[in-house]
Formats: sequence, C-alpha cells, structure tokens
Amino acid sequence: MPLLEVKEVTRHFGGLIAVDNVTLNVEEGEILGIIGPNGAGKTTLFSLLSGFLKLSHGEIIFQGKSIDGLKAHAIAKEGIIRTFQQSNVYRGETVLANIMLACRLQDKVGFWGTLFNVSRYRREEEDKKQRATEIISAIGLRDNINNLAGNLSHGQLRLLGIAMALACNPKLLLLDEPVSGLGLEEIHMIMERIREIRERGITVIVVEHEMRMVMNVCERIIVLNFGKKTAEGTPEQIKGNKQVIEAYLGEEQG
Amino acid sequence: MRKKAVFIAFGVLVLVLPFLVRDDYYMHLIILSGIYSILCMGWVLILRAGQFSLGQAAFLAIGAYTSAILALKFALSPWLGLLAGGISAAIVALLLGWIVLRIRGLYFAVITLAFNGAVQLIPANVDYLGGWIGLAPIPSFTLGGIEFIDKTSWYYLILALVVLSGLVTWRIERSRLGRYFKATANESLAQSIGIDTVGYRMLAFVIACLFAGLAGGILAPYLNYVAPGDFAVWKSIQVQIQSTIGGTGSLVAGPVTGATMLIILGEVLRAYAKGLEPLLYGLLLLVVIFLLPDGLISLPGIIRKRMRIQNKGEPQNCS
Repeated sequence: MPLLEVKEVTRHFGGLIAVDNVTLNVEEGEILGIIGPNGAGKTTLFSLLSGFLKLSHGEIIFQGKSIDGLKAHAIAKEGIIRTFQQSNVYRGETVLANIMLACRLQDKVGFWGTLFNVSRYRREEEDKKQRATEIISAIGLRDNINNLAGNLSHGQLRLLGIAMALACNPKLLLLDEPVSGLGLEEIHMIMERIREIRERGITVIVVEHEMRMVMNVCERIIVLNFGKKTAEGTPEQIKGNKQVIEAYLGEEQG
Repeated sequence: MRKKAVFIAFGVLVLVLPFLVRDDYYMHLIILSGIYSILCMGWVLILRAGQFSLGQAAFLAIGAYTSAILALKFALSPWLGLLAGGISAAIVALLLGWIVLRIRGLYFAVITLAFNGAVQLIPANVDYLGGWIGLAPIPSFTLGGIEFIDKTSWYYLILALVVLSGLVTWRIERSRLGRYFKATANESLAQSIGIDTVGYRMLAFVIACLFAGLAGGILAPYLNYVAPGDFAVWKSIQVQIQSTIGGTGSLVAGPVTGATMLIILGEVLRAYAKGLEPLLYGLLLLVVIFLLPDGLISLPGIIRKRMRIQNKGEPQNCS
C-alpha cells in the first residue's frame, strides 16, 4: 500500500483550474520531485495535501485513511508536514524557541498539568529542550542556537524551516522550493540534509525549480503543467521526455 | 534578590492596604480598579492569542446579571451567583467564539463591539431584567454569618479574584501555553506545525470571559444593583485603553498597572471636571503610544537605563 494516494484531485479558483485531475502515489521512503513551470499548480497541490486548501474534487488517502476535510493542524498531527517557499519561521524568536514550538505535537501533558506546573510538565519541557538541541545540531545550526531567527542568513533560515518540520516528527515531509534563491554551496548542503532525512525513514516530496537539485536528489519525478500531470518517471526518463523538454527543460536550456 | 524584596514589600502593601486607606471613597476606587484589572488581564490574554476584543464589558454584564437574577428572582446565594456568573459568561464566550474566532483583525473587533452593544440593550428592553433602571437591591455576600458591608471585606474578596486570575494568566505567560498563544499570530506557520490556531484563540477568549463573568458576579452585589448603563461599549474601550497604557508586553503587571492608574486618575479628574474622562483616556493613550510604546511598566527599566548611562559619565561616583 502506498503511503500517500492522490486520486483525481482537482482544485479550481473560480474559473481557473490550478490542479486538474491529478492522480499520483507516493511510496514509503522515497524522495519524489514535483517540477513544472511557474503557475503549474505545484504549490497548490502542496496546499491541498497539507489541508491549507480544500479539494474541489477527488480524494487524498494517507496511510490508508482519507484526510479529506481535515484542517491543516489536524493533518500535521497525522504526520504530513509542509514547509513554505519564503522561509516562514518565527523571526522574533531564537532558533531554539522556534524548534521547541515545532515540537508541540509531542506534548503529552495537558492544559491543567501545564497550568499547575506539575513535575511531569517540567520534565517534558526539559526533554523537549534536549530533543530540540539534538535536531538543531543535526541540521547544522548548533552555533546559532540562541540567535534570533531574524538574524540568520537565507540558507540558515531554510535549514531552520526544515528543522522545524523535522521537529514535528513527520511521516511525509513536503518541501516547497527548499533551495530557491540559494548559492551553490548552500544548495549542496541542503541536498545532503534531504538525503539524511530520507535515511531516517521519512518520505519526502520536493517541489523545486532548481533542476540540478531535483535530478540529483529525487528518485522519481512528476511533471505538472497547467495543473495537469504530464509526465512521470526516473530523472533519466524525465530528461529524455520530449514533452517535458518542450514544456520545461527546453526553456531552461535555451 | 532585590526584585524578590520589592515583590514581598508590594505583597504586604496590598494585604494591609485597607488599613492604610481609611477613606471609603478611595477604597471604592481601589475595588473598581480590581474589577478592571481582571478585565484588562483577560483583554491582553486575548490579544496575545492574536485577537482584539472590544466587548469585554459584555461579559462583565453577563456575570453581573446572572448573579443578580439568581439572587433576586430565585433567592439563591450570591456565592452561587458568582460561580454561575463566571460559567455563563464562559459559555456565551464559547458560543460567540465558535462563530467569530475564525474572523480576524478589525472584523473581530467590530463584531465584539456590536455584541457589547447588543448585550447592553437586552436587559434595557426586557422588563423582567429591570429595563434601563436595572435590578436592585441585590443581597450581599455572607461568610460565616458575617455580611459583606464595609469596603474592607469587598476589597479582600475582589483581591482574591484578582490574585486567582493573575496567577492563571501568569502561569500561562510563563509556560508553553503563552508561547503557543503567541505563535498563533503567524497563522499558516502555526497550523503547519500542528497548532490549532482557532482552538488556542478560543481558549484565551473563554478564560478571559470566565474571569470577566466572575468579576461581574462580584460587581452586582457590591454595587447593590445592576443597570445597563454600567456595561456600555465605552467600558470595553476603557479596558483596551487601560491595558495599552499599562503595557501589553506583560499579561499581569501591565494590565493591572494600567487599570489601577486610570480608574483612580479618571475618578479624581471627574471630581473636578465631569465628562472629561474620555479626553484623559485619549490624551494618555496618545502620549503612551508615542513616548512609551511598551506602556507604563516599561518606565522603571527606561529610568534605570538612563541612570546607568549617567553614572558611567561620572566614574568618580562608582565606589
């Protein structure tokens, strides 16, 4: 059984069809790339998967269960975690505080325990701090742990965004343009991190414009164009696909 | 260490205050300050969760009328009325919140404002609830056979509620709850990491309105009457201005400071020039926004910083 089944999913905004009858499966443990020209519906598809937008038609099944109608925070709880294009983090908070916020889904002590500051609550916060520190070290932000997120570089902000997603203990991670606007060195670093994430058994879907990155990291690629799925295959197959070259790669290579 | 000493001194002062202030009128103002402190703490809590309420007086009214009706029409103990006042305000907040907490920003402010107006008009137009004249006389609390008549006993009753709601808000501020409330400001990010933004806003709203309702349950027997005039929209706006002047960066110190300062200043001013109260609020609000954006509670820190700079200029003073 695939981890995620997207069945004939459509989303329109008024007359505009942003995602048009898309069907795809995601297997557990793979890194899937979704590419396509601007406005092809990639981010809209992400928003549908993560519950930020509602489907017009179709069905999304995650771990054998329909997640139709679930709100975004409830889908996060199911284990689908997304990141955002513009590094969306709490800029006024430290790196550690950001990660600790993102660890919220693992909270076990409830409202009253927190209010009365029971020892179980304090222990949980201590454990959380330790776990957050581990995540920060693993992603490579150890030196910035107490810095305000607003003072980080572009590449570090992306890492923080990914680290926050990881802190949520995702089963499926949706990365929306994780390397756009970054330099070559930073791109390599983030590619390395994405591979490490997969090693941990987390399934990853990447939406990205940066071709070298997609071809390098993803095992399977799906091409969207005008909201429709136009091709699917390994990076080699996609590189050779005539339609894809015309629609997308052709432009890139001039 | 010094902070602790100041804190203990302040606590002792609060405890012996009725024996220092022997004037009934000033005690009355201090008791009113307590009621408004509770409203303001709730208001800042709602603000922390990203909503701007202009209807907190409505929940004070719901608490006050609930307790008044239970005492007058059903002859129940005012203690029960107090409890019922808080619960009914919380239930109304739950129902209203369920409809309007999805709405953000200005729209939420306008809806709560309209709600306040509506809540004020209901008793004003229902004979059973006393119309514009209101309901009286509401029996006082009794504890161990002693009736609450002098201001001192009312002072301690309202102090208990201020301390209770202060402790709850203080714990929220210090714990992860406060951080989650704050995190809801970035709605999409909060939801992406699994924070139920509407749920947290609801929690803040219900807690704030619960305490507003409890305050109403004390206010009605304290004043001996309830009348719609005491729950006008202006009262809700006062709550917002008091909190802003006190400082919204803290959930307890700022609102309590702002409420106390303005209730006392406003009443003093009213003694000399009736009707100028709104002007005082407006002017003070402007002064604070432009000169002290973090409110009155930021003042000690600013003064300390200034003094340190001055001391550095004169090294001979450092011994």
